[in-house]
Amino acid sequence: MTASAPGLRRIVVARMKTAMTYRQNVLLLQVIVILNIFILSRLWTTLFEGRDTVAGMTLHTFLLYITVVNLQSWVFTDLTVNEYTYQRVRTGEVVFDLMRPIGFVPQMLAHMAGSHLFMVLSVVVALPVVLVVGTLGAPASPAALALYAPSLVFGYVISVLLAVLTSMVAFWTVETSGFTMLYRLINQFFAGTMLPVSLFPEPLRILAGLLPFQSTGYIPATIYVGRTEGDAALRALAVQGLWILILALATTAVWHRARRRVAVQGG
Amino acid sequence: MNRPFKESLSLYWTLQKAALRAETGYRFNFVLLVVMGIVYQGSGIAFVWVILSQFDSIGSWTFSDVAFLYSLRLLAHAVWIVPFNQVYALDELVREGRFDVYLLRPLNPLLQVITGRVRMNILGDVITAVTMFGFAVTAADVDWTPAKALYLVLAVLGGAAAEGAVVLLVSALSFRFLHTWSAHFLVDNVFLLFGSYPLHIFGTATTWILTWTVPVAFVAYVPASVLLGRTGDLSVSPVLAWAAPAIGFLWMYAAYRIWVRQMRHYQSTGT
Repeated sequence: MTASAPGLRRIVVARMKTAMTYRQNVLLLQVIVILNIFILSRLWTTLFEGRDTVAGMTLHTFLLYITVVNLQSWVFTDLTVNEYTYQRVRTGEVVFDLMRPIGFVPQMLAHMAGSHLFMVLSVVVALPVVLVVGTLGAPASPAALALYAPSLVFGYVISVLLAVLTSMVAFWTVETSGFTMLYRLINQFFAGTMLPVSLFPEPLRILAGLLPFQSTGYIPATIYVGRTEGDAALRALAVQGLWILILALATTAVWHRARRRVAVQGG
Repeated sequence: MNRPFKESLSLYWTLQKAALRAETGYRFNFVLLVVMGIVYQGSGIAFVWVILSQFDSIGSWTFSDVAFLYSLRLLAHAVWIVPFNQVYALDELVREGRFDVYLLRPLNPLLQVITGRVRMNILGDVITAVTMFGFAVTAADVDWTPAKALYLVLAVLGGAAAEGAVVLLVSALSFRFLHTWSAHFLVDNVFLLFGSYPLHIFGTATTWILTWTVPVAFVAYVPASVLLGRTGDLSVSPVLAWAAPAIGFLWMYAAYRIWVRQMRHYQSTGT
C-alpha cells in the first residue's frame, strides 16, 4: 500500500490540474450554488414572516442551516468520478486502469480526492460572496463543533462510498448520464439541501430515514447549528457509522461483480 | 439562405423525422431519458408542494397560483425546447469543424443546426408541461375571457421566445469560445430557479435585474400575474404586463440578428 502512495498522489495532483484548466466550468457551477443559496434564503425569509421558529429553528439558525448544508453538498455531490468511470468503461480504456499496480477503486478515490480538494479551495474563495447572499456563522457551541467535525468526516466518507457505488453502474449500462443526474437530484433533496428533513411530510420523512443521504447533509448541518445535540447527536453519529459499514460492504460486493463484467467484455 | 419559408419548413419536418428514427433505435435509453425529463421538471413543483403543505402562501401566492406560474413556465420552455434543443450542441459542431457543411448547403444554417438530432428527454419535458398545465389551469383562480385566452396563447409563445433568445445568445458564443455548456447550464438554472417563484419575493433589485437584463420575468411571472389578476404585485405597469409577449418576440428578433452576425467569427478546424 505504501508503494502505491506516489502513484495515487500523482492522480490527485493531475485531477486538480484538470479542474484548474477547466476552472471557468467550476466557477459557473459555483455561481449556481450561490444562486441556490440566495433563492432558498429569500424564500425561507418570506415563509418565516409572522413566525418566530420553524422546525425548532429561529430565522438566523434556519438560514445558517441552509447555507452550511448547501456548501457541504456542493463538494459532496461532485460527479467527476462518475463521468470519468463512464468514459473509461465506455471506451474500454478501463482495461489500462485495471492493469496498473494500484487497484481501480483506490484510483477512483484519488480522482475524487483531487477533485474535492479543488472544490474546497473554490468554496473558500467564494465565501465572501456566500456571506452576502447567505448566512455564515460559527457553530452553535464548542460542543457542537466537537461533534460536527467527526460528523462531517463521516458524511464525507458516506458520500464518497455512494459516488463509487453509483459510478459502477457504468459497468452495466451503456448510457449513464440520465441515471447520474437523477441520482444527484434525489441525493440533494433527501440530504435536506432545500428544506430540513424534519419539515418533510410524514411519508417522505420515513423514506428519508431509510436512505443514507440525510447522513451526508442534514445530520452534520443540524449538529453545526445546534439543532441536533447531546444524546441525539451521538445517536446520529452511530447511524452514520452504520451507513459507512453497510456501504463499504456493498461497494466491495459490487466491485467484485463489476470486475468480472469487464472480463466478460473481453477488454 | 433565401429559400422560401414553406420549403424550409417541409425540409425541417423531413430532417426531424429522420433524427427521431435515429433516436428511437436505443429504446432503453429513450425511456430512461423521458423519465428523467419528467422527474427533473416535476421536482421543483414537488418542493413547492412540500412547503405549501405547511405554509399558506409564498409572498401571498397560494399553491394553485404558484402551480399555475410553474406550469406556464414549463409550457413556454417546452414550446422553445422542442424545435430548438440542438442549439445547445452548437459548440460541439463548431469545435469539431462540422459547421462547415452547414455553411455550404443552400439552407439557413440555424435551421440545419436545430434539425441535426432530436434529444428525447425533451419528450419528458413536454409530458410534464402539458399534464401539469392541465391540472393547474383548472385549479387556478382565473376569470377566463376570450381576451385572456388569446393572451395565454401569445404569452406562452412570447415566453418561449424570451427564454429561447437568451439561449440563442449563449450559443452564439460558440463561434468565439468553443466551450459553452457551462454557460448554458447557468442560464438554464437561472430560468428554472428564479422563474418558478413569484419574483417579488426576491426583492426589488433582483426583480429589476430579472426583468430588464435577463427576461426571466416575461417568461411566466408577468403573464401569470396578469391572468391571476395580481398585477398589483408587479413592478411593471399593467399596460406593459399585457405587452409581455411582444417583449419576448423583440428579444428573439434581436438575438437572431446577433447570432447571424456572430456566425462570421466561425473559424473552421483546419483539417
